[in-house]
Amino acid sequence: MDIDLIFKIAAVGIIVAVLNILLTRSGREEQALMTTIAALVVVLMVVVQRISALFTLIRSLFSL
Amino acid sequence: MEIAVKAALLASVAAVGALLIKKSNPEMALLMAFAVVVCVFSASLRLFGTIADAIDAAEKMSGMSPAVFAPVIKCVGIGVTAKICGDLCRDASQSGIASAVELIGSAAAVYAALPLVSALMSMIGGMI
Amino acid sequence: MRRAALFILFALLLALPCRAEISKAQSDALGVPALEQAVPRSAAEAAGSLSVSASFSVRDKLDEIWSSFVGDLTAHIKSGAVSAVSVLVIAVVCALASAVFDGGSLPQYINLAGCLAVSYSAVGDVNSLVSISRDALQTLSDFSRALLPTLCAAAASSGAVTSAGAKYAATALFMDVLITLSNTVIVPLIYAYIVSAAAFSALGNPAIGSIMKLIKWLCVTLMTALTLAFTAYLSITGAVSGAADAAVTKAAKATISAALPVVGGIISDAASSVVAGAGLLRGAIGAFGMVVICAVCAAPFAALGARYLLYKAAAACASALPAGRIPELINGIGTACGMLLGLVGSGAIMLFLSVISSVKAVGL
Repeated sequence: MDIDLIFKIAAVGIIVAVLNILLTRSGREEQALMTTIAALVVVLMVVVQRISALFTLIRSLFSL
Repeated sequence: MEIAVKAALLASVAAVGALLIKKSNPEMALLMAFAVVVCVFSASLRLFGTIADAIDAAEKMSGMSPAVFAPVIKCVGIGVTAKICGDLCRDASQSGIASAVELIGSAAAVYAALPLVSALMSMIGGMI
Repeated sequence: MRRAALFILFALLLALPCRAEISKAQSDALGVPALEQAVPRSAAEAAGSLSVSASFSVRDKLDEIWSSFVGDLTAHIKSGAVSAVSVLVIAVVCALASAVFDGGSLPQYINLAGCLAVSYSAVGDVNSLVSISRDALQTLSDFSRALLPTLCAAAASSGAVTSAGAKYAATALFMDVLITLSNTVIVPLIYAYIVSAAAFSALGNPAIGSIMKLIKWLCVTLMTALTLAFTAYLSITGAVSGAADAAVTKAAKATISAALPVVGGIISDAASSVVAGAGLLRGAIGAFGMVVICAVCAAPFAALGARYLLYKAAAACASALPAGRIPELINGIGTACGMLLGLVGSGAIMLFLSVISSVKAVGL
């Protein structure tokens, strides 16, 4: 079981949250928004790859 | 059976973590939930694989044609996928998408069972 | 005095060979060799060589048939266990899936697929069982066409003059009615029962459930009514014509004695011994017929009984799982096998009753 991925996402989430707060407080809201979106896109790409691997496994297992 | 215990622990830790991140970054919390689902589901599918091998062995022993068992297994696979996907969409507060996914899952399950229906009809029609 | 004693001794010695010749001539006249030829192959396989004779041991033949029945039953259980196991596996898969999904419409579709799979595998099984039952009924009917004329001729020549013909007519009529009913009504009803059981387990509509119960009641009532009607007809015919038989036979003997003054007494006594010989033969033919009927029924009963037991056992195991309505479907298929068993059983019972009533006809 790939537990590292979960911790990585959790770590990225916490870092992005902290960066968001820092950038918003110092008045750079657009940069805060861009950081959030960039982190989201990166995590989304990783998760989508895993989801695609999962669906391939389902298709092979249930012969769909 | 450590795998079930590991999965339970992981899920509880991830749930607490998602709750933490939800306040500041709800999308990341959702993505973390997705990642946990993918991990635990892949692990359970490996277990299902062993069960499917046992079912294959029973099928060969019974001498029944694979055309009888296959639609049942397909229905189970479609059902599992549609249910998990629908629940994830509900987590993201998109119950409309969830309903659409479950509807297409039901339709696909009936479609997978259609060869059985037509085979049964032709068999009964041949007898009477 | 000595001459009279010698004369009586010689008369007795001459009488013994005559009795044996009467029996053989009688059996040839009644068509017993043709009857022995008409024994079905399945009966010969179950009971070995069969012939109408004084040394025919019913008990030994029944023991042989019983051991062949037990052997067939074990073989059918072994071969049928595999299909019962596959039906159970489908039930287990559906139970697992229902346990995974708590509610929603998806478990219903998995239940539907499971019910269709069980129905498909069961219909093929039931097809082969229906052809076994049809063959068994046809074999019984064909053998009855050889047995009953011989038996009724023996019954008639042993004194049951009016009742023998009536019983033969009744048995032939009711066997024909049973076979026609089974081909046109009962077997299609059994198929309809299986289809409605499949529909009920897939859809869960209570109206379909009531239709299922109605079809089962109809099949069972038809078979029971036919057998009861035959029994009633046979007992009425036997009671009415049995008394007539005794009267007719006594009247015939009195007429012979009166019409032929000197030899009438001797001729009517000779007729009594012929009648007694035919009575013995009637008993032997009856025992032979009953053993052959048992032998014919042994193999179909083993096949049908094995399937019935297996499906009921599989239903009992599956009902322990949360597999929706699949256990009820498996139970319904077992019931259909039971109805086929009842169909072959009613044919056998009717023939048995006919043979018994001919053998136990009111004598002189």
